[in-house]
Amino acid sequence: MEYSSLIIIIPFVIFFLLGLLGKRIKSYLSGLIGTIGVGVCVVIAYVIFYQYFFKIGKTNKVWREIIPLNFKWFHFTDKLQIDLGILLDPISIMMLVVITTVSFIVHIYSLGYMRGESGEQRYYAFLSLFVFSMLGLVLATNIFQMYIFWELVGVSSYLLIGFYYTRPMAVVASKKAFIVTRFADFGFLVGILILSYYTKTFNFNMLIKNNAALVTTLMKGEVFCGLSVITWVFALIFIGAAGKSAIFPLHIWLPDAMEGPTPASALIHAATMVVSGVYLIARLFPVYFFASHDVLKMIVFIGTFTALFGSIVAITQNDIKRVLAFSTISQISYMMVAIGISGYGGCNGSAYMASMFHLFTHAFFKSLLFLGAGSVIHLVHTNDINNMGGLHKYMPVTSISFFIACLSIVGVPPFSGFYSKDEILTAAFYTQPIVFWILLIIVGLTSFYMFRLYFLVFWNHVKKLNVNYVELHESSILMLVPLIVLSLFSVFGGLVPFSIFISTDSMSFHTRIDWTVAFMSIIVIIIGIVSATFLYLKKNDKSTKIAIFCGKFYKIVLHRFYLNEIWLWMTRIVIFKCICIPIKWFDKHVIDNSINELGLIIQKISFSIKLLQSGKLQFYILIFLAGVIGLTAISFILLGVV
Amino acid sequence: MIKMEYYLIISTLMFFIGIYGFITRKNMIAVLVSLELMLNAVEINFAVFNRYLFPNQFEGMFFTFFGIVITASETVVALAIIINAYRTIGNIEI
Amino acid sequence: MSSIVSFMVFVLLGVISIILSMLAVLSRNLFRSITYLFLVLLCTAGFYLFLNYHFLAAIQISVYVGGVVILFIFAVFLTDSNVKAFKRNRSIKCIIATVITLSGVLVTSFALLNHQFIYTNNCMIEGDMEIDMKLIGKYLIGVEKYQYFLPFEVLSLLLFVCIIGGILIAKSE
Repeated sequence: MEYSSLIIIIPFVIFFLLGLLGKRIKSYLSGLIGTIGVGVCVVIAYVIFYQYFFKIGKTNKVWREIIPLNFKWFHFTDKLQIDLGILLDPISIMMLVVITTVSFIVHIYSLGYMRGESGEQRYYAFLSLFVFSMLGLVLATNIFQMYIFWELVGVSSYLLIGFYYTRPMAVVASKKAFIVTRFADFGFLVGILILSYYTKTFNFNMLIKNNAALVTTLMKGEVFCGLSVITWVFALIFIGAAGKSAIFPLHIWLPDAMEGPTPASALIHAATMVVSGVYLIARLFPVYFFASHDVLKMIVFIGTFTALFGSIVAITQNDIKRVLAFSTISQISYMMVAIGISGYGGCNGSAYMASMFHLFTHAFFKSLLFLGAGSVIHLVHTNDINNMGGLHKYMPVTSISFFIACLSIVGVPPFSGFYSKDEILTAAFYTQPIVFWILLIIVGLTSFYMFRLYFLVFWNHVKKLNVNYVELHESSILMLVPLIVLSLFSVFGGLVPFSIFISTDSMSFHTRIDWTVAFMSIIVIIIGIVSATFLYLKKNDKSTKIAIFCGKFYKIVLHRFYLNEIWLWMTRIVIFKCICIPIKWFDKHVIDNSINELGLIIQKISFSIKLLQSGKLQFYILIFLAGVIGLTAISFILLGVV
Repeated sequence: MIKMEYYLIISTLMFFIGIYGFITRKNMIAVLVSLELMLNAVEINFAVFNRYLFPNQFEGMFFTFFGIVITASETVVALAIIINAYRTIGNIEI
Repeated sequence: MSSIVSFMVFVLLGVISIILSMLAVLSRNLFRSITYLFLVLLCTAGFYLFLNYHFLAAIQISVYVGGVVILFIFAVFLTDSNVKAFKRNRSIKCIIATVITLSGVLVTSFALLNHQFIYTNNCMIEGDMEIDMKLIGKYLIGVEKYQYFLPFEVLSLLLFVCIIGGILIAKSE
């Protein structure tokens, strides 16, 4: 399966091609090149998928790992070496399929959405870079390679968020995203380094082998600051994952990242990049499970909190993309929680499988939601849902696909979200009931805010829009086809028998829908949808009344619990005032001044020496003579003639 | 009885007077005059050393002889340069 | 000539030559300073006579007085430097030059007065040490050791080149 390396190489080549050609080629041509390149990737990904799952993947009922390509990249010592390679196993292939499919669809959508924007070539180049780095991330054979691509993904995210670099908001958002994730990645890096210090390997296979025997034996008993080193390492790696996956309290970059072009948001900040944290934890799941169970508990705790937090905040937001962003935060935390509560082996590991399943389905319906939102924004040129309304009449296809996505995300049977969510809820129900009840509440909240969004945008009454009503029309065919395709994925994505393909111990097992749990969640969903319908379907002021009734609480939630402000305060007061200013003072007054003084001294010396080089012959002779006489006199004294 | 040192003292004084002129004079011809003084002092030295220290040989005398000739040729070239400079910039002050 | 008289004459010659060279350097009038130089050169010829180098004295007079000084005077006339008012610069440079010159004189005289010269034959200076002109001629065009045929020829070439160079440089376009 050596051809699988092509899947990484093609986007990379296209990135270089488009980046170097730049404005020398027509914008639609660059879009076409990018789309075709990703299309080839899609084909390769599906061929790999077919070959792995139906031909060669299974030996003795176990999905084996295939490493079609691996070469030593850095050979520092015999023990320390960094490889580059391609690792094919069920979850990487699943990610491969998701990433290539969604990026292909987003590419096609962009052909319509980005038409006429300046710098379209740049956009496609960045998209290709992103696809390249994301694929490199999921196919990484070792944790260091993953880290490299992890950073590359961060860079391409930064570039795409800051695509409209003339807007100050976009610039600020891109910087924020980069700095926050970078801050988290620092923890990741430290974790990797400590881990490799003890285990002498970066390789995933080596780390996972024999129930993470390497980690448990080599790192046993090492203690640092009251906690075992294993806990430290895996908590640090989780911090990296939390930064990328927008887990509280490192989620603050994601809502702001919505300043980027909407298709890019759909691809990066909904479907692929933000789940890379989940993917990382899933990759290392056996190690987490066997070596550091307490970190998993922490993940469950933080994940549950973030899911609740995200869904509560999403209720009050008025920016269509922000609602979706908080919904993403909430859903990703769902996946994290699922991994956290998972057991190992067979049916015990169903939550792990459910997490991957939810990742899979979420990628489709969330990108569908984003693309639908993009379609709306493209039309009305605003992000504020208070300025939308009644759009169903004008853009029925978008509206219906958005509706399907909403049903899918809230988990109405038989849409895809139902299956994946139900797996998670079932697993939680039988392992950690408290988590289950919170997750159930979140399901209700999700259905409420999603339908609030849907009703406010597509139903309710028509508000004053920035555009003429006559101009309101359905988006172009290039934007509609992706919506329809993704709708199909959202509807039927849940029928994929995931438990056959993905499990903790690589063995197939069977799950069935637990109707008790399903029944409970359906009731909650109905409550959510009905209350949303009651409040938002028609024009009324009930919602405003409730907001006034809640008073302070509403305000706090509207401002996202003032977390942004807290972080800002932290950076402004703690970092800037207490750390940066003294350092700046030191830099300015000590380092700069010493250099300046040195320069001034040299300048003064040179000014005084300059007279020697006056170009006046007689002066030269004078000095020459003085030197000769002085030297003669000195030599007399030294020779003792005097 | 004339001692060798007397000659040498005279030539030293003459040499340094030439140096003084060389340093202080502005006019190029005057500088050249000072140069002649210095060369003259050196040539006296050659002759004196030869006569007092190696009276049976002629090296010093011939050096003086050659020195005089070279001085003359040097003066010719220097004056030609000075005249040319005067023609082009109308000034021979340095 | 008794030795005391010749000594007196030598001292007089020495004093005069020093004073004249000082005047040559210090004189404001360029023309005068050239004249003083001319007199200094004549005094030098006198020294050569004292040393019994008659040939050298003759060369000194003919080359310097007959050639170089005349050239100087020509140059002064051609550049009319003499006409221009000659400012004496009493700047700090003069003071430094004086100091350095004096210290140079001190160091040099100190060196030569302290040095013990090894005289081969101290009493041979007087009277009959005149060198035969034939001998000089042999030395000048001889090719053996301590004979100067090659330098002589090189010098003739140098003079020739100098003439050409002088003409070329001084020639107007």
